[in-house]
Amino acid sequence: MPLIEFEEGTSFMHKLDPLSKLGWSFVVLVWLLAMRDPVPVLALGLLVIAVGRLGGGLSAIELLLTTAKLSVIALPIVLIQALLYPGQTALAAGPFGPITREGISFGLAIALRIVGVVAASTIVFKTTDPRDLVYGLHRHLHIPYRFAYIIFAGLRFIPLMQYEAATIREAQTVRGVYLARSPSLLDRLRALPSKPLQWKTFLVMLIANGLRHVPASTIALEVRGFGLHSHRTFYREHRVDRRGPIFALAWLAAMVAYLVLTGTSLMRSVQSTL
Amino acid sequence: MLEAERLSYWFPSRASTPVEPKGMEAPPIERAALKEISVRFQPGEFVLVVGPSGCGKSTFIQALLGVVPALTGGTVAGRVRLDGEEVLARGLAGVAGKVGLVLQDPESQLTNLDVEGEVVFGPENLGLPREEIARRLDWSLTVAGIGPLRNRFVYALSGGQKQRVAIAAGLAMRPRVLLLDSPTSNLDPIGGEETLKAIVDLWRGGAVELIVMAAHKIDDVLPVATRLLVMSEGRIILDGPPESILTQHLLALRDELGIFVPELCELAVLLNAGQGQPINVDGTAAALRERVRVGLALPVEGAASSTPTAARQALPLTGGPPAVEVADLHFAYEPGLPVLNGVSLSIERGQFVALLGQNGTGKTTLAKNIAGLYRPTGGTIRVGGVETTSSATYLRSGKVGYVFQYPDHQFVALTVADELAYGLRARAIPEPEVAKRVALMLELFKLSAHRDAPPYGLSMGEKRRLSVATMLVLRPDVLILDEPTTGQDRHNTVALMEVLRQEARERGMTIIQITHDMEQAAEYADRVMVMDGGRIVFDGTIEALFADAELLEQCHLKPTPTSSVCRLAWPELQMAPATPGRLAQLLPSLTFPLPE
Repeated sequence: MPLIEFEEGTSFMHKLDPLSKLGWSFVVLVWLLAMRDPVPVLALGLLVIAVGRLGGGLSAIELLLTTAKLSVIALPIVLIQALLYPGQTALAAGPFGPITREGISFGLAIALRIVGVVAASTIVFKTTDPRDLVYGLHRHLHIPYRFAYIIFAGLRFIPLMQYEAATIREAQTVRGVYLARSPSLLDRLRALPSKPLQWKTFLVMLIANGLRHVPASTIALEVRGFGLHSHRTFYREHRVDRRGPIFALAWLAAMVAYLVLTGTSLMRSVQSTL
Repeated sequence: MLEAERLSYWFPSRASTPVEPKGMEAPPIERAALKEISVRFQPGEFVLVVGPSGCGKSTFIQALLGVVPALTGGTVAGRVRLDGEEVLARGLAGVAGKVGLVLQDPESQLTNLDVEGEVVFGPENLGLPREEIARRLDWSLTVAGIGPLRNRFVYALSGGQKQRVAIAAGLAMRPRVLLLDSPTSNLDPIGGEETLKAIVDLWRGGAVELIVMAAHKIDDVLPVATRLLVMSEGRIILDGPPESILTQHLLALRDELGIFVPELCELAVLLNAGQGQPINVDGTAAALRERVRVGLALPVEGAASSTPTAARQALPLTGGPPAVEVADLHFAYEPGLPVLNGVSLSIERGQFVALLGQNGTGKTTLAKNIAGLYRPTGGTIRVGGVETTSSATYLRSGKVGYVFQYPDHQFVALTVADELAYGLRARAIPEPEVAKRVALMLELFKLSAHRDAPPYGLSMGEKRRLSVATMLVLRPDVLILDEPTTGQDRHNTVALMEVLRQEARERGMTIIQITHDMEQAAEYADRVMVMDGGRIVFDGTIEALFADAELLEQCHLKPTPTSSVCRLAWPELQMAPATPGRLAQLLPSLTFPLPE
């Protein structure tokens, strides 16, 4: 199963319109950026996961695993900040100076922000039919269909690339490319130097296979009149009810209340993060 | 209606810009992919285009649509007109909605998320009213036989199902002209037959006025085709009624050009039947009965060149443990959705097994479990007597090779020679031995001239040969091949299959081939297994399979033309021969009373 493939369902989140869900994820992003302490960032991240579980009907474990896989960049950030952030409470000696409580806290907050944003985006994409998204962008935000379709094609391409990647990995495993997966530790160590080449080969293949589809896809689009007329009809019915905007506005209100109650300056938080 | 006039086309050279500047002199005609083709198609025609791999069939089809050179670049000369309007000058925009196209690779031509979205995409782009789109959707899904798939995601479908979705999407445009480039090459036999029936019904009903279809195998569509074009090296070399071309030029088409001639035509020519008559099973069976009645023998020499019988004589090498042993195997990609439901089988060393079954029945999944690519959820797998169920280590030893459907997926090196050497070096084989084996494979697969060429630059036939060679060079005990000859002409197919047969016979290599090609299975396999619903439902000879009409229907399979003719000629026959070669061998011993 691809990491961020749309999963059909009838949950509360599935029923919301795509633009409201995008609005919600934007509120989550801003809210996370406004927080500096890792504890409330973690709490908000858990709340987002709860929305995915209870509101989206998604498996919390799968959601956490997916988020973890997509947040691979978070761990190095914690390490870099722990080693380099100029804090005051030294916990241990590091290669570039003392490792401080503030450094770890700052790094954790950034990492958890990434995790939170990835979790919210994952929930949006797993509960949003890309066709509804294209329709919403075209009809309500007046984005030309050609451009809206590019976003759709991108979303459609992600699971395809993941299927393709799995096939290439299998095909190359048969060729002996992934000997590093051998249960023998000696084999794994022996295969270590060839790892970069393996990844290069894999990525080249993945890109080459993606490009392989381009000419036929272009022909298929053109033959079926893509972009032929400025007007097009939509067969699928798209209903937008009030729940989506209410949901997004409720989160916006909650964020504003938090900022006011805690006296947080959004601008200052963003500037300090950057 | 649709015509080409002195149409020539040159692919863009690597050094040139995508579209050659106007006014530039055309390159020499010898280098053209299409060479001064002049042809005129009339409404009501059903035209088949055949020719060896690389002869320009697909390019010709694309040129008729205006794809060439609008999207491909290169240089074009001559004209293509649709109802008097220039096609090449206007490109695809000029023909959208008038001409439908179904390409060979369904994967690439699907541009939406689900089946319904795929089919309505074209009509939506035309701005048709919703009610009309709904009508076209229902109709297209019905004629393509994919109504139950309506709400499925396209990327989760099998290759054959995707192909039918592509056909339905083409039909939804209600085109006057339908161009098809090997549309059934990925379908199981009955799936292909049903799809062709849908296309033929469209044409007969007048919904599509003209059909031009490029294909490698034309058995199923021959009875309805009104015209046959034979292409070779970018030119149309024969053009006329299919039956007269096939009967008059059978041997030249089959043996010199390497075209798959319908088996029924081979039989009809061998029996001297069908002169001036439509070639069909009934007529051929009658000719066969008559031939036997008057005591004439079949000209065995003519049949024997394509139908060696040695495969049946190659007995499995017994004495050791089975090459592959599977017991009560279960597998599921997702919990609760089993794909394999208790598969058990045993294959001896040196056997050539064809794994048959309709699209989506678990053939590839079973093969990947045997190859160790998947970890079963239950049951055991033994390779050469060693249990491999929970171990991936045997992958390293090269005991089981696997050739994927798309050869590009398996390439990992920059040159053909390095590609062959890769697996050997990964297994720490000494360099002198690597060089020796690579040279042997280059020679065996006729790739020596391409030794330093990049694998991606080879023709599809050469890529397929290379992908098989990269596995054979490891000298595996078991080789699994997933549709290794799809889209290949007869020359390429026979060359590849003969090498495999030789490996099985001389080295005792066990071969498991996933295929939809009944004639190929009949020709080469010692034994066939049929899968249905994640289980093996038949295991035996192909003649025994063809004798079980109920099972054939259940599993969407159909017998070879030879088998059908023999059954009609002699209904009493328990095990009808499945290939012309076996029929020729058996004929002297057939002494059944002929039907009154």
